[in-house]
Amino acid sequence: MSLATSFSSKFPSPLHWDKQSGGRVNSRWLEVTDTRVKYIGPGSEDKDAASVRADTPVPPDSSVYYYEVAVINRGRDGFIGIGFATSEVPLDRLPGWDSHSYGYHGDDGCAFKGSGKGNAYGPTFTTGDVVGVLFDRVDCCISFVKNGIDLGVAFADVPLEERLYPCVGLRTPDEEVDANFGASPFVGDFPGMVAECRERLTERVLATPLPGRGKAGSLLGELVFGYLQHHGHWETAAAVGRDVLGGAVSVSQADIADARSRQAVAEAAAAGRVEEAVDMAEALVPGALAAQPAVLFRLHCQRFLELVRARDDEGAMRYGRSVLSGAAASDQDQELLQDALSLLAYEEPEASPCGELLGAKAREDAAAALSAALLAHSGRSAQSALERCLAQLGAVRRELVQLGDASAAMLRFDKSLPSNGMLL
Amino acid sequence: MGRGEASDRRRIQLSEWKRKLDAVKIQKEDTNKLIMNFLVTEGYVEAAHTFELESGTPPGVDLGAISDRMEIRRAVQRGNVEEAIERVNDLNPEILEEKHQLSFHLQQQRLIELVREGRTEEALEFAQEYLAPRGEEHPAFLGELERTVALLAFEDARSCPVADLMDIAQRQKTASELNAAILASQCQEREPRLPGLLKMLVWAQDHLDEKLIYPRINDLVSGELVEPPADH
Repeated sequence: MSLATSFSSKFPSPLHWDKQSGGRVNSRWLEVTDTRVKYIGPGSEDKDAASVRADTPVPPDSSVYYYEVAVINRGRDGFIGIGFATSEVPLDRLPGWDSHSYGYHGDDGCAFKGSGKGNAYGPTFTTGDVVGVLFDRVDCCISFVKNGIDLGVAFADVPLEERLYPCVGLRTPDEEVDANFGASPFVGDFPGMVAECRERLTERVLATPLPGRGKAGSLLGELVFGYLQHHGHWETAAAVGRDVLGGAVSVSQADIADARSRQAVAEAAAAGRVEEAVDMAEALVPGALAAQPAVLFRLHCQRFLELVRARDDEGAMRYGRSVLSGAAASDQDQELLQDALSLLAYEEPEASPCGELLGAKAREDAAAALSAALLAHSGRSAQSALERCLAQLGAVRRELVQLGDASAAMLRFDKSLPSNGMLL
Repeated sequence: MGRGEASDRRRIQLSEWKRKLDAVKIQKEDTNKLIMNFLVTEGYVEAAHTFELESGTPPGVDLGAISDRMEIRRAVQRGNVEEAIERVNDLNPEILEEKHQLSFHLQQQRLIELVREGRTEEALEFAQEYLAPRGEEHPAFLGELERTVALLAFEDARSCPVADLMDIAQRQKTASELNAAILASQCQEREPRLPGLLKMLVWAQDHLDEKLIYPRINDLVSGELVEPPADH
């Protein structure tokens, strides 16, 4: 991973100057060795300028990109330009003179953007100085750093569609610079710059107003109440209804009774009493399991697994033949079926490759699938509103990152979460 | 892109989006911690205690300390600043020693309460004895000090140019500052995490709207997914 981006990108990062990029005009006036460039042309007028680009553009999914250029020799006049340019920009020019080109020039300290006339920006720079270039793709701006000191934003509203390459241009004899694309430690505090960018972004996000309050006047209170109720934490739900929502909502006894029955079904399944759980489910919500063949199959499987667990191999075999083998509908069912049947081949099925099917986790999964089926059939969601919001946040965030969004990658969604990585 | 221009944003249908949602694993343990964080930070001690019993989620802090914090806050909100100061010092004397601005604001509130009660002479004495020396020590407080003392110059403090100091909002402001300082001293966050996450959701959805058409959650309270509008 390069040090020059704020996180590891799936795109390559610039490593050195591109000798080929000077291959057309004026290349003969640049001596390019890896990260070093020296001017060896006549240097008498502007048309003698020569630029070089890095081997590859700034990674398009990076949030913040940074590189540094050390001035080895200011040469005759120190007409050194440092910045970014796209691959269409002619190389017999200094960075900043053309459209899609941005440069900070050493002789006058001006910032150039698409024009031969620069704007007063920072101090001049010369032999021994190190100039850092920061492309902040979250705030869409380019800043420069001289000897570790931030000079502020030079160019705002930089279009993110431009594929910008790090770029330097020289114009008078003996000018020589050496770039650091992250192979060695930077002079500037790059982690600090990243942290600041993240802070600005976080501040902006946290300034987002939360939309309309809920029925009971408190969005947060209602989400918390709904979550507690959904998971059967009745006492806490009652306390939240009273203390947070000021009594605007309360727990209904019918809900409690309903949830308790569902909980009893899940408990039976989780304890391995599958037949009992299925009967209870059928009595509680008739037709729920028939409507969800995958869940029913999962429960049949669990019944088989319980027989294997109890070492009732004969019973398991009979059950497998009569019920199980014909019931698998999907590929997923088939796979589960094969894994389950394979257990019969071992004397110690718990220690076999599919042994975890006999563990507590498999029982809990079956119980959870059963609970979800009962909820769905009685028109309730398997998740509370709060959990749906969190899942949505995770999915949207993932989508943004996959689309190469600079800001989403920068935001630490997990930092504000109780344990790391929950939504990553 | 302007109005009426064709959108080249990709469209994700509900079924595809649901698969993406299923791939996001929300651990109950994490969500429980989020709930506990909300209850603890907002000071709902009883609910936090009940939640610990019902869900086995540790509160992560001494719930007794929250009760103290809430009582201190209520004392300021009632206008009983002296009691609040005493209690804070019982809890942790370093808080007021280190936070000069907070300490000044508490004394200022005390003066305001004296004025409210019509104890003008006491208020004047108090200002000279406690408030003025702080102003001298910290010139940054002088402006505020002068504004506050100006309350004494008016017959009816409630309709004078600095009447805003007499508002209940001023009490709330002082109470919040004190509450945040106590939280900070206990290395606790001042804000619960839940609102931050919901803001992120609103922000991230708005952000993704520029790139994709996908099922959104428009109403956070219900958490219902809304299918993207049909193609024309």
